[in-house]
Formats: sequence, C-alpha cells, structure tokens
Amino acid sequence: MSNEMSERSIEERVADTLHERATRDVPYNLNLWPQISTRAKKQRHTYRGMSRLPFGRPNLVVAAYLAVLVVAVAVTFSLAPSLKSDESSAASSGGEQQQPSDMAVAASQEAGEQSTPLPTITPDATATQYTADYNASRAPYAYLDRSKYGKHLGISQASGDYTITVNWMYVDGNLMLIDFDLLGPQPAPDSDTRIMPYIAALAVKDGPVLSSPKSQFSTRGEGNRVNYLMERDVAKLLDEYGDEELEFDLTITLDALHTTPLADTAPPDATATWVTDSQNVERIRESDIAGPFRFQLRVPFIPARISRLVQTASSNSVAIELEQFRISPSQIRSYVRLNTGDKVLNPDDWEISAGAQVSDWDALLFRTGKPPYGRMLTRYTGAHTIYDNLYEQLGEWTFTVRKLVNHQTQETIEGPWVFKFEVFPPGTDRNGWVVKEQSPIPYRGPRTSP
Amino acid sequence: MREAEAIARLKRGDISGLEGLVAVYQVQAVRAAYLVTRDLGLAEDVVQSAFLRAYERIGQYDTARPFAPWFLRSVINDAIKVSTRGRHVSLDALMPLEGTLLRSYSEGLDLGSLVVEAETNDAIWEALGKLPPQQRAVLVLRYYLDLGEAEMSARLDVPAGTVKSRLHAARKHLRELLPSWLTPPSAGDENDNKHASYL
Repeated sequence: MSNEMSERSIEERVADTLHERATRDVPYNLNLWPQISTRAKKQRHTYRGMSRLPFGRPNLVVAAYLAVLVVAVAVTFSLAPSLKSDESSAASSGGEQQQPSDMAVAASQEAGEQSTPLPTITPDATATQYTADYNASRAPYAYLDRSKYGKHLGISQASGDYTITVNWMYVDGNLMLIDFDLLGPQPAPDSDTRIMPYIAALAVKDGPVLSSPKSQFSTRGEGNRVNYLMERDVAKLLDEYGDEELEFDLTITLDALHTTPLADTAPPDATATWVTDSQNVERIRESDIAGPFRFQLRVPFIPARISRLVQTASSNSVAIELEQFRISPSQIRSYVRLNTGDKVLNPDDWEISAGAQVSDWDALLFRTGKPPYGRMLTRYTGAHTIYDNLYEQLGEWTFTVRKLVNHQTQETIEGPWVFKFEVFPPGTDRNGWVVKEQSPIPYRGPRTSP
Repeated sequence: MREAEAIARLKRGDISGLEGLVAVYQVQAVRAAYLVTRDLGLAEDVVQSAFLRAYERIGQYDTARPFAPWFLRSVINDAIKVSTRGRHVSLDALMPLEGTLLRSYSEGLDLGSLVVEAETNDAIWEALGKLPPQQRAVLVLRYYLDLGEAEMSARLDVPAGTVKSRLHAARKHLRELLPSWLTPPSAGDENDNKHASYL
C-alpha cells in the first residue's frame, strides 16, 4: 500500500465519517421555521416601528444607538445605588448568559437519549436482566420519523427459552425495515457464543417471496436482550403495489455463532457451518437452535416515485446511463450503467459523488453508495443509494454526478455527468414518471404555493 | 416557488420568501454547522441566526449570484465563531459509549471487519473533534460539501493560497491526532496491525 493511496483512503474515511454523522445526527425532517418565523416577525415589527421615523435606515441606526446611549446614561445615574446592591445578582445574570448553549446541549442530550419505547414482553425469569440501551437518535435510518412512517406492532412469539417481539415495521418501494427484540437466557460473562436471528421466510401474502440473503441487521443491546433493525432491499420487487396496506408472512429462526481461537477449534459437527476469518478465529454456526417464530404483519406500503427515463451522459470518455431513479422516504436509488466505450464497468465498484438541484434550488448534496453503517447493502443491490429522505422534493430535478471513485483502487474519474427529469406531485404522470396513487405523506414546503 | 421568486419576495419584505429558503436550505445548513460545532442545538441556533441575518440583509444580496454560497459562507463563519468562543460542549462527552454497537448479517458473518469499520469512523470523529474549529471547517467544506479549493476560497472569503495552507495544516493535524492503527504505514514498514488491512 503506497503512502499516496493510504492518504486518499484516509480522506475517503474522513468524508465517510462526516457524511455518516451529518445524516445520522441531523434529521432530515427538522423544521426551524416556527422559531425563525417568530423571531423574524419580531424583527419585522421592530423595523416597521422604526420605519415611521422620518429618516433613512443608516441614520436610523445611528439615532437608535444614540437613543440607547442616552437612556443607558440616564438609567445608570438614576439607579446607581440599586445596581451596586444587585451586583451579585447581575454577576449571576451574566453567568446565565452563557447558559443558552449549555441549555441547548442539555436539550439535545435529552432528545438524543429518548429511547424507543419497548413493549412489555411475556414475563420471564430472565426479563429482570434486561440491560439494553437503545439510543434512537443514533440508530440507522434515524431520519425516518417513526411517529410518521411505518407501523408500531408490539407482537411477540416465544419458542423454548427465547422470545421475539416485532416492535415496528416500515415498507416502501426501496426498503423494508423491521425492528424487533430478542429476549433469551442470560449468557455467561465469558461466553464466546452469540445468538443470531435468521430470516427463514419472508413474503407478501399471496405475493412475491422476499428471500433472506439480502437482509441485514443492526443490533444494539447486550446480555439477554438485543434489539435488531433488519433492513431488506425490496426495490423493484413490490412495484405492482400502490398506496395500500400489505400483509407479510415472516418466519425467524435462531442460529448460534460459536467463536473460538483457531488452534483450539473442535471439529465441526454435521449441522455446523465453519467460517475462518482474518483474526485467527474460527466461527461455528449452529442452525435452528430455536423457532420457528412466525408472524403475520400488516403495514402500510409507500410506493416509490420511479423515473423510467433512460438517459446517457458522457464525460472523460466514460458514459453513464441512468437506467432508473427511485425516490422513497427511506432512500433514493439510482441504477446506472457505466462504460468506457470498450468495456463495461461494474457499478458496484464505483462510488458516486453527486449533487442535485430541484427546480432552480441548489440545496441537495450527497454521496451515494454507502449506508450509514457499512456498505454491504450497496453491493447487494447493484444500485447507488442516497441515504436521506427527499421524498417531498418535487419539481424538475437536475442530478449531477461530479466524480466516480473506485472503492478498491481509489481511481477517480472526474465528471460532470448531468441528468434532468421531473418529479411531479402525487396523482400526476408525465415524462415517464409513474406515480401510482395519492401518497399518504402530505407534501410540505413552499413550492406548491403560487 | 423558485429561488429567484423567494428572494424577490424577500426583497419586497414578504416573509413567505424566507419560508421558502428555510425549507430548502435548513437541513444542509444545520448539517454543515453541526459538523463544525458538533452540537446540534448550537448548530440550529447558528442557522436560525443566519436566516434572520439573510432576511435583514437581503438588500445587500446580488441576485445575479446563487444564494447557497452566500448563505452557507455566513453559516460556516458563524459556526467557527461560536465554536471558537468556547461555548462549545461536545455532545460526545454526554452520550453513552456505544460499546455494544455491532452489526451482523444473515450471511457473511464478517463481524470483525464491521466492528473495525465502526471503530474507524468513531476514531476519525473523535480526532475531528480535537481540531481547532477553523481547521474542522475547512475539512467540512472539502470533504462534506465537496468543494474545490477555489470554491472554498470564495466561501471563506480568503485567498486560494490561504485555503491551500489551511487544508494542508488541517490534514496534517488530523493525521497526528488519529490513533496509530489508522495512520498509513511508512514505506517498508511491516505493519502487522490487524486494522491496517482495512485502510
């Protein structure tokens, strides 16, 4: 590994970290307008009052300054004794002027520590050992407001020593998310065994089967209770459905993963799967230690807004064909083909650095290709993914690919490659855009007003 | 409503123009400010004030130029100022350590590399927090807003040479702050650290 490449790798890591933290810690749906509006109205009211004065703004500022000075001098002289007696309270008041930032921090901390309420689980001898600490603000897909999207379920199933509770589920045209808890016996403190859920079956009732290999989990918690967020790529699999409630059949089994140092590993038995990794340990996977846990889940489905226009743009001898663009609340997917004229490049090897304009605004900036935690999903889907909620950005989109960066070699190809298309409000269908039904998500923002 | 129309309204004193600008730019602005201040509450304060200042000073804004650079320059500069004043308290100090964060897959089971990836990002985030706000800001402009040196020069209102030297100093300082297992090995160094393979 050359130093030059290492330097680039670290720069990439810095960029990844900044994008990950920004997306994860600052929710897409934050709304500063109420506070700004209140402050702006006060400001405007002040200006209006001042504008009645018979001179222009620069003079007005000078006049206001002088007026404040005169009043301050007068107050100082008239209240000097009381000011002196109140010196200590003034000092403490001065101290309090430093408080807003601390208060803001405290408020942020409080918001950050709000836990997703976990439903009551069937009483169990091990339940008192619960030690999970779920910090919702740092969870993957934290920009999806759970009070607005998906459905809270709280459905439990038990098998042997284990109980699985499905807390929340969300499905749109790109992604399915299932939040569930696994409760089981308290493991020994020095245990090298990890219990892992396995999605044995997942299907829409009387509809497509969603096989398990494209599922992945984020986990939080420790001890005998762990919270999982399962994400499953469903892009292109549910396009036949509109804005409706879908019923899913979900079956989960449990596997045990035993980790042992390489030298001490016992021979595998007939049911185990062996995995050797780079850290001189071997992992034995023991299947179906509990279950199956079967669930029937009904949740609202949000169709993606899908561009089926095929556009090609070229730069630096590389042509990018935008095959499909899919916008849903959880993600944006761009399916592209890359070729240099004499060879086709594998899209999964390349990360896109891109920006977008909606109408003549210039506010969207993102990198595609890396989910907030890891990058495996991108490799599975073959698409470039933007992890943000831009579902409400309607109008003419200009999607500009600025550069391509190869994951492995760090080779960079500079753009730009520019694509234009239109995203219209629900119920319209122009220029190849398919919008199936009225979206349950109300359009928020000023662009609908004349 | 388009940007030009929003600004025209604002110039006429119509507050609906400001609402349009807030709706479009607030997330990007708060995210950029947050990466400099590392405090969400403070970042929101900075952005609110920047919008109000834009409202107050919209008369000075040249409509021939795009709004975003003019506005974000104000946001970044304010974020540097509030961070430099020592009002900043890192949220990291207040948040519980996520030692239990793991990621697993229904297939693959490459838990080691996933943990390393999370550790790497945490280490970089921690090192970024130790940089002076000015240096953090140039890294945010370069690696988050993806600006070139010329654009950074315009945003920060400093000569291009200054941007170059600040960027160089920030990168150098960051590398010094990163843990040894994250820094690249020197030529000929047989680094057998397990983490090196992930860089």
